Amino acid sequence: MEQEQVWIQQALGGNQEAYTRLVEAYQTPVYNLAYRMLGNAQEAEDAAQEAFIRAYTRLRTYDPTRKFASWLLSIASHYCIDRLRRRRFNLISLEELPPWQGVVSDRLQPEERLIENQKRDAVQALLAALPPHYRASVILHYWYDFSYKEIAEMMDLTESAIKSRLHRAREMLVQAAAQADEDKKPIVAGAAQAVPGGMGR
Amino acid sequence: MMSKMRATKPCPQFSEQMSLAMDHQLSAMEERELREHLRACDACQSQWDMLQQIERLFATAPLIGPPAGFAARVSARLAERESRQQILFGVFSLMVGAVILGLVALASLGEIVPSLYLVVTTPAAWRGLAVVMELLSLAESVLNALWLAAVAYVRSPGTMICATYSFVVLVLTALWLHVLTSRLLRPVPVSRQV
Repeated sequence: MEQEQVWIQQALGGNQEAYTRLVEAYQTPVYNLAYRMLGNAQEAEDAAQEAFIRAYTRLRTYDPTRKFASWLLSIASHYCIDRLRRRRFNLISLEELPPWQGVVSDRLQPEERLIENQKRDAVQALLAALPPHYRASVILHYWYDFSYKEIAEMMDLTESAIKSRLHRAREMLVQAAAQADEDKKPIVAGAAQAVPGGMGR
Repeated sequence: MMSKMRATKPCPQFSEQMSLAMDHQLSAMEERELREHLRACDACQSQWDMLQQIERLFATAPLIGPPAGFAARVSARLAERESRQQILFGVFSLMVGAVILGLVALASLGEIVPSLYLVVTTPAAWRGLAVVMELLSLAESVLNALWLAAVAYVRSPGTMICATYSFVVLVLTALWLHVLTSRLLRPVPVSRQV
């Protein structure tokens, strides 16, 4: 944490090398957020890069009493939400987007890779059923273990609004899964076979 | 023993409770109530099971990292953005400079305009301008008359004879004047005066 603050101070002084260290430290959380939000490797790369650039230009507004990760992921989620809204205005459907690529490790065995692909597709199919703001709340809650309060601060909302959104989002996720079951294209059931038992993280 | 409820949709009052239960936000009593309800209601139990499956799926989905070289690509994009901003700043500075120069020029005009106004509003200035205009008009008439005379002279049939005759007369007159003046102005020798 101390090293992180040193890098932030150095980056504020114009040291881009120090900022590169910060990018290396947080590239996976930011890229994962962009990927889960946008559901596409190319867009995720572009959005994650843009989030880091926005963070660099707003570094003076960062409050050191807050967690840097929360501040950075807040910028990334707002940017992804805007991007999803623009995508809706531009009438780009999910089918028009490039196929999934480059995110499942090449080190995996073919069978493991197949399972990972199934799980990844199932997760993204479920997330795609959520509106942008709900999707961001769900991702921040499940992948980063942020509390209601932390998510509320990141999304500029109240805790009760986040609680309500997570509840509504869960209802939508269940509906999407049930609809897929009715259409004989089960999302969760197929992927769940590959998932070991146990509750949550 | 409670009899099983045959609802097709989960009960709204327990739907939110299920979400809170997933996040361990219920009190022990609320949890007990929910468990009892789930045992009695098929629709809510089915929703609960699905929520559990989704929870497990999300919980085991890993963080996905970017392809190799991501940090370098961010640095390159940052450098490109900064150089573009510097160019924009340069153009903006030039524009601001041009605007300031324009404002200075306008301020100078502001000083000249009142003086011009004083001159223009003096009656003598307008009379002087009328006299100048009349003189210019007169000069134009004289020049027109001279031009017409010259054209008429050049176009007349005996122009060459007249011109040659005039030239000869002028030359002979000049010679005669030269001879006359040289004799009249020649100094008388001192010895002869004595």
